[in-house]
Amino acid sequence: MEAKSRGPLYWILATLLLLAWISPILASLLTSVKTLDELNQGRYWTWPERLAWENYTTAFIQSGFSRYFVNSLVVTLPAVAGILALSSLGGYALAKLRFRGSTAVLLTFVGGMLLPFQILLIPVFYLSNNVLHTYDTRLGLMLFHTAFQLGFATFFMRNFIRALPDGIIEAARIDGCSELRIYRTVVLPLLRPALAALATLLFTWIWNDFLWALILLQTDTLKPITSGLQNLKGQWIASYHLQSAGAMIAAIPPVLLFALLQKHFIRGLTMGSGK
Amino acid sequence: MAGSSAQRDKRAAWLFLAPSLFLYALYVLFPILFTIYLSFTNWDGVSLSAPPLCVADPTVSCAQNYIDLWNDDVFWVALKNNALWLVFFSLSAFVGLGLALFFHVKSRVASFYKSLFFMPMVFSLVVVGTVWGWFLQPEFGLVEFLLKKAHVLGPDDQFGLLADFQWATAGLIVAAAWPHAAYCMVLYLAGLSNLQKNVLEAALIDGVSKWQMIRHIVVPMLRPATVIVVIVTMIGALRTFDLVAIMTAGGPANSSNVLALYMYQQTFESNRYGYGAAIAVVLFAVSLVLIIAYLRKTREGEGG
Repeated sequence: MEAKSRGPLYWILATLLLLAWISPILASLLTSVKTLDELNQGRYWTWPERLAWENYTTAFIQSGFSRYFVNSLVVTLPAVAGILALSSLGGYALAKLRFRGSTAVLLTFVGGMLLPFQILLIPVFYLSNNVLHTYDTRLGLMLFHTAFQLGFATFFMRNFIRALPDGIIEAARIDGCSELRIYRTVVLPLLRPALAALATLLFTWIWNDFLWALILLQTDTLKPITSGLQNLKGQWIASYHLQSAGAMIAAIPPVLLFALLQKHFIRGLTMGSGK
Repeated sequence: MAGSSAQRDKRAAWLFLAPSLFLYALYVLFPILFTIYLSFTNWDGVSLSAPPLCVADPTVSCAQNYIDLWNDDVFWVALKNNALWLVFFSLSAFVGLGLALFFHVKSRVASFYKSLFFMPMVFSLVVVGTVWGWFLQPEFGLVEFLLKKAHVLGPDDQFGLLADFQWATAGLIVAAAWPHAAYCMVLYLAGLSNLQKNVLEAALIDGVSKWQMIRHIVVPMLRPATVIVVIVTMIGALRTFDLVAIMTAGGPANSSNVLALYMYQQTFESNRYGYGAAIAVVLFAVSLVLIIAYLRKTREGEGG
């Protein structure tokens, strides 16, 4: 029951609200295209003399930002792939296979997604350092994200798969297919919308993670964009134009993903909230 | 067919779940137990063994870390701040609801506006922290500039929100509320789309005013969305770390510190792993109330 049209007063108010809402971004955008000279003269909030796009190249190339970017990709993409594979398998088991302990397993996954990370911090650090020897490797960070996000992801896939009709699965069982075959040929093709939604959410969350990158990666050249940007701010102290440009660059991938796949994103958030 | 159908199901299920459960047990389940154990030790992060406090030094209580915590002023400041977060961060849910109601309009332009409102939700908190840190910057920031232009601030005053002992937490909560309100807006908009038309149309025919309709029909019907919003918001308030670390590092002088950051500082900056573990356990215990509530709700949805 949404309104189909609104008067001009509404749109004036809406526009004012929008401007107020995005004013922090607009402020950073404006500062990011100013020259250092202009800032030193104290002309922060005037229209720029010229658009100093070279701030972006400086931020991206000269400070190793591009390396952080690659690191983020190296950590995020395999993690997302792994989580999608494991959670859809596990979600299918929880959704369509009846076995004792099914509810307990489900609750374990659900409980895990609400945990404060601090309860995991020290042991995971210890695990990476002394047991798996993955400390200060991107693999270690990737493994952690894969493991941790399985909670939400399995819950999510399980909810989606539950809604799939039992009939086709039963028919395949009667035909004598193994469960693995059923999963691969009957269920998996139907999972595309759920996998797309989940993938956009997972990509954003893992890409944007700060705490675990801080804990599990020491060497600067291995850091992803989040801790990398935070580091660079120390280098760029009082260089607000570079800080702003860096923040805008770091924001681009998730924003781009969101712009292209907004429907999937929204569906993921609203579906994943559980029924 | 080997074995009965139930057996077949059981075998397949555990096979499918095995890799997930293995990773999960390794990185999530055992760590919880390990942290609880560590909170009773004095581990320095390096030694290969970590005996409980009362074993290593019989003159000291096993729960010495917790006793020290009780006497630690910074702990209580952090706890107080988390309580402030619980209360005020929740206001962002109302903002989200308000925005959802306002923009519950079906048009291309409205969709464009909505997309822009959603955008903060996808930013990394490092980006949010950088953007808001600059926005609220004491000497040159836009807020300070506008306040001076509007003559709210005198020319010699400074708007040092984040550097103020009393108001730093407020600045942090406002910055955190920005992406969170966007998230709540998404959830509520979805909830609004699912509202049952016939009830609303019947109410309109009955001549119910718009405000009454919102208060007495729409909001109660949004309860499922509200439950999610409340739980996610409260969990978020308890485990907040990124923005505090990035914008104030808990300062000035720990006045804006929160349990999650304090735990990190004690563990990795002061090398007091046992003490940090104790803080983590306290944080976990407080969160447990919410986690159990959510699990109960999930289990009810299953039919027991």
